[in-house]
Amino acid sequence: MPEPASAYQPILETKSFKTMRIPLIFTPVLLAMAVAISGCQPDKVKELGEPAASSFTIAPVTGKANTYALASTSTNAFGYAWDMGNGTYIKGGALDTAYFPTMGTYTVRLRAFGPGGSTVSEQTVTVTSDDLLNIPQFVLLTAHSWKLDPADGANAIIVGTEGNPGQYFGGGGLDACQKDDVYTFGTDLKLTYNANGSTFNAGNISPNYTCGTDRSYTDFVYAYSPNVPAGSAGVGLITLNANVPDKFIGVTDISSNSYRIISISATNMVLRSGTASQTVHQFKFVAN
Amino acid sequence: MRYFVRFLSMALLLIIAGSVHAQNILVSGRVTSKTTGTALASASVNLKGTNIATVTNDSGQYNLSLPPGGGMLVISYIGMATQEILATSAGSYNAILDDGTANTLADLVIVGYGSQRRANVTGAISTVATKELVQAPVADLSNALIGRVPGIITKQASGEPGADDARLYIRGQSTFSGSMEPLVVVDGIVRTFRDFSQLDANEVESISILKDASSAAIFGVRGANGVLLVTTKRGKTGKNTTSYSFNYARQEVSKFNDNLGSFEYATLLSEAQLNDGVPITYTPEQIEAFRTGSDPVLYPNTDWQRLVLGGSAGQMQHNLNFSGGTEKLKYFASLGYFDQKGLYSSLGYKRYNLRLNLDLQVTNTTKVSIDVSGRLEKRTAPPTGISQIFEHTLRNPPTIPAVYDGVGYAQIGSYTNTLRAIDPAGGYNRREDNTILTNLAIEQQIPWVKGLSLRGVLAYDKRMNFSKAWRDNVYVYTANGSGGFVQSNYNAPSLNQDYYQNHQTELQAQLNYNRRFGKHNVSALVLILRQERPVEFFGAGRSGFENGFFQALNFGPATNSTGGITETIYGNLDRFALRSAAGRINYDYDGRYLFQASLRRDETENFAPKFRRGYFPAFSAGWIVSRENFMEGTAGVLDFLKIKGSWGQLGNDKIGDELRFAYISRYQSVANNYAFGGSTLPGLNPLASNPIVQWESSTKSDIGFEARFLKGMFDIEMDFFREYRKDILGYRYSQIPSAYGGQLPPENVGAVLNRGLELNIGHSKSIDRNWSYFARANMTLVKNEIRKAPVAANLTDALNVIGRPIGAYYGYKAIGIIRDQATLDGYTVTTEFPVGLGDIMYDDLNKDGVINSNDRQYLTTGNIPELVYGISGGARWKGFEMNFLFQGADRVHQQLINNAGYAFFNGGRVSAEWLDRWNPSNPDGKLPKLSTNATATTNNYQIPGGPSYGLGGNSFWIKNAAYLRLKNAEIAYNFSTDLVKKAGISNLRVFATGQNLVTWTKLRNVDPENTNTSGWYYPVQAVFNFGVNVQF
Repeated sequence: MPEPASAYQPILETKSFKTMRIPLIFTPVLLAMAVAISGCQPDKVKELGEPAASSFTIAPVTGKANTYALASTSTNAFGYAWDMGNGTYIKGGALDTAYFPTMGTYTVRLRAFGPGGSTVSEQTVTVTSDDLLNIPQFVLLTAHSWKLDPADGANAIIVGTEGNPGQYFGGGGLDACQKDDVYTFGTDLKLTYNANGSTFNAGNISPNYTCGTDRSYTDFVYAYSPNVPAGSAGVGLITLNANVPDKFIGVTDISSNSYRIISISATNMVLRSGTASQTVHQFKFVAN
Repeated sequence: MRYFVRFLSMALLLIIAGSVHAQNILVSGRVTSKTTGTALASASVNLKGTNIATVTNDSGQYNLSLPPGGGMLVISYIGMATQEILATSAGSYNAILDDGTANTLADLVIVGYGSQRRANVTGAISTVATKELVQAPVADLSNALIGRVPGIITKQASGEPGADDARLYIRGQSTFSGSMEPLVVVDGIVRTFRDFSQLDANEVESISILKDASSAAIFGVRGANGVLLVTTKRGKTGKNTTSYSFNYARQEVSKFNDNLGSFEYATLLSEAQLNDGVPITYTPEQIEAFRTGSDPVLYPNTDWQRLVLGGSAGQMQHNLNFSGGTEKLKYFASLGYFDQKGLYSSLGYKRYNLRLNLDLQVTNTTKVSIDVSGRLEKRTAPPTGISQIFEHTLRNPPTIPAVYDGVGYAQIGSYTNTLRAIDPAGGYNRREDNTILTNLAIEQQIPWVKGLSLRGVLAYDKRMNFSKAWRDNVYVYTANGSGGFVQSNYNAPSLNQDYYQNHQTELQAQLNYNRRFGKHNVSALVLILRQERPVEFFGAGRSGFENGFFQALNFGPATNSTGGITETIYGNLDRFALRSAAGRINYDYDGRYLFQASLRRDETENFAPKFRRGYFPAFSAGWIVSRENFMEGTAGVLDFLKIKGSWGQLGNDKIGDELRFAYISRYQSVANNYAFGGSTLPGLNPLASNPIVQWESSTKSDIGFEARFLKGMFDIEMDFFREYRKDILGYRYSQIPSAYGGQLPPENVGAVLNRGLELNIGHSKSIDRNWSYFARANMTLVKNEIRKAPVAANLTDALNVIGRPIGAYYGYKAIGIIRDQATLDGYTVTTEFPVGLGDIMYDDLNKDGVINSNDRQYLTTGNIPELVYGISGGARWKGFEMNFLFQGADRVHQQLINNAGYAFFNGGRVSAEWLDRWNPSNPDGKLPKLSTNATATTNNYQIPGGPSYGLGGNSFWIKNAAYLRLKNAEIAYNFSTDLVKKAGISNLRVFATGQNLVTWTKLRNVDPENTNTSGWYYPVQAVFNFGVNVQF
């Protein structure tokens, strides 16, 4: 019959021995746990990091009209979105180009992205001339010759106010001498009007409202601007620097030799002469 | 001081008295069985608290020399109640032992329809005792099994109160079609999984887990998935005991997703939008506003997870039980109450458990047992489904507000405001489950045949579930940008109610024979049973209630405003039946050579009349080597060594509810409409039947050994097992041309081979009266392999499921991230979607220069672990006790997609690991470049479909889900009996326990046990519990 273990040993010694035993017994368990714990934890989460500090330079590109070279000088950046002055950021590169077809003052912004987010810097650039050949309306205007819309019921000419362009005269059929008038806008900013024998006299030339003298002109310089006066309708502005009716478009009694392109497509164009405070004349043209 | 003096003088007196009678006394006696009157050989006689012991000889006689003064003799015999006799002087002390109650759990194992001495068990059975079960402060008993015993693979996928059961796979997965849910047997009757999982742990005496064929084959067609045998407590002859225990716990989410706040979210979102070349939502100024938090209405930082799931919820448990008895009447009565609050107020679970187990000795040879138990469960949840709540809690970005102060719930875009979804004002989904389980058993000894008894059992169970879902209007508001708010439209309330009931009647007749002839020990069982279970279900719903005052169906309209019928009524009916017979013979020779054979015959109505019957045989044998004479030399080192083996056949009839009556041809309504003369009409589609469909059949074998060393200081148990399961149902989809048009019926064509090993080692030691400790470890390794499955003949080897594990991932194999231009230039394959810097490259398996579905290949095993382990230990010093359980799993993978893995999925949030994304300043980032387009039609997020019986995958998103968890820890103090006895208390224990305390895993965000690839689940909770147990 085995005796209790402690019977053969001095009590003090046994106790110290035994209290040591328990931690020892659990050593493998603790070791296993330590190994498991170190090998079983997700990797440390990365920090968000620093945002990019945005800055850039802008310089005209020689040999290319209205084109500017953009070069980011941002620090800590890997991604770039540029706002070329129209309020919309477009993804781009560290080196990019900006092109402004029309003259004006533009604010160019760079939103530079770094690991910790983005910042914006801006530069102002003043463009002194228009690059007409890149203006879609100008390209359409100069693509071919135009004539007043001869179709019945087209009401090619109406007269009224800016708010109601047909208020005074709602339109009607064209005379034969009007139907054959041809206007050719050149890309060299020269306008040719060919009346083909007779020009219709409006209310300012006698005899009124009948076919009269041929008032054709050739290669008269006109000005083109993609911008219309603030607050008025239109997508482009044609200006003839001459007195009415020496030079005119449409009819001889227009209030102003400044014409807004209200709309233009490959085959149709609507021009309006006059300002908000004047009597306006609106013309429907079709491709000749 | 007075007590100390009294104690000192008493001690002195004892020492003097001892020295006067300082000579040994001799006691002797005879031990007999109360029921048979025969002598009990090998009964143990032990002087309590010492190692002084002997055993009785063949005629039941013993002699023992006791130290001076004698003491309490403890007389025990396997399968009988232990008796204590005070022997203070020399003489004869006879004992008559009663076999009415079990001795100790350690010696006796509950097996199907009986019990066996542990030493004689030849099958593979693990047991979990009540002590370990009550240690876990959990509602669901299935969670208390996790990590405790070898052979059970577990997954606790949800922590939702009342629905947090762990999925148990006994010895792994063996079928790719049927259910792997183990059979639950409570007190000898097959019952539902919930009848086990929602038991009050205080009612449970033990749970036996039957893992191999020889132990489970007695359950025949239902035993192939293994069996959980639950035995509830019964009264014992002797002192009446009253026990009360109280537990209070706080539960909290063990781990939140590491979601980024609104500043970091907006910063990363901007980067993603820059990458995608789409307009960037936030300006640097707005992002700065998120950082400073200066404007919580327009620039909030909403932590949706913590808003919905933050804080902690209480959990309370009471149990009061009484047990005791006389020779004639023994009782165990228990009343339990469990109340688990949800992390939000609209969620909760309450349970009342009641049990009365009575044993009556009606005559000397007749015993009657009456068991009645009841369970009332009440679950409350919001009417919005759990999955929807968690989808949006996970998805909602931090940049949208949850609440406008003083206005109401905020609604931004299409994001569901989950705070509103959990508001009790939005209604409820209440469910009440009432369960009554009864057993009536009569056992009659046949007086004229020694060892023969007859037992009849009538079990009647009734289950009634009632649920009521009420949805009510809660307004949401949207800021209109000018300081005001727009209120949402009114949604009229709706109500749905349904009622389910079933009742199960089981009749059993058993003939038991148990007798020893010299060295031959024979026991036999013959059993016949029949079971019937009619099921009825009815439900109805109405919508468009005018108000929420009367939440009753009759207050709602049956039609809408234009007279169209909007009310719904539905219901169904079913009836299950089983008729079975079984027999079992156990034989052992001299306690050394053990044999067992059993056969079960089952008839189940789910199959065609000719294919209803099945026979399930099993055999096992064991050899207790340590009892051989030639092993005498090892005495003192090797206490016990048993080698055992078993073989048998079982069935699994849980082939899926949708396959009920698969042998009958039927019609099914078709989702696709038929076109008739310009209009489309719903139609019917014939469903082909398979008249020879049957259950899955399983052949299991097991070989193992058990050994104990150095007086029980060390023990080891090891089992190798093999299961071949065939007749698994499969559809020959891919083997017939699609021109056939219809679908072939399921056929018993699949087969799976499942092999593994279990190891269980233990060490325990009592150093002296005050100090003792133990440590145990168990491990299970299981590998399964699909052997047969209906696969297309032209399937490439890379996609063939045959020879590969169940639930494995197949798909694109990621080979890295394109980190620089040189790599991009070198990645010359044609891809389905555009690829650039920072994108994922895939393996071109067939080297055709194109990445497409032909490059899909086998990737990894699935989300059921192949290796699980548990390490438990404990130490006791005087009244202090400390216990712990570590539990872990390995060789397990989980694919994390959508909100669980992707950034900005479905306009959703982004989690912290995405800080380590690829970008030019972090070319070594672990994750690809950010994109707001985390859809399947992009290079990085494409998940191709898998083959039949496999899962589609993209290896980049498949993660190692191995983990180690401190599952349970306990610190307890047992107040010394002397101290508390004055208050009439025989035992007082206070304890603190914790569940799911720490988890180590490499898996981010989701819990490693979660099985929802999108992470839409109620998280598993950490529980901190305090409790008291008092016994009178």
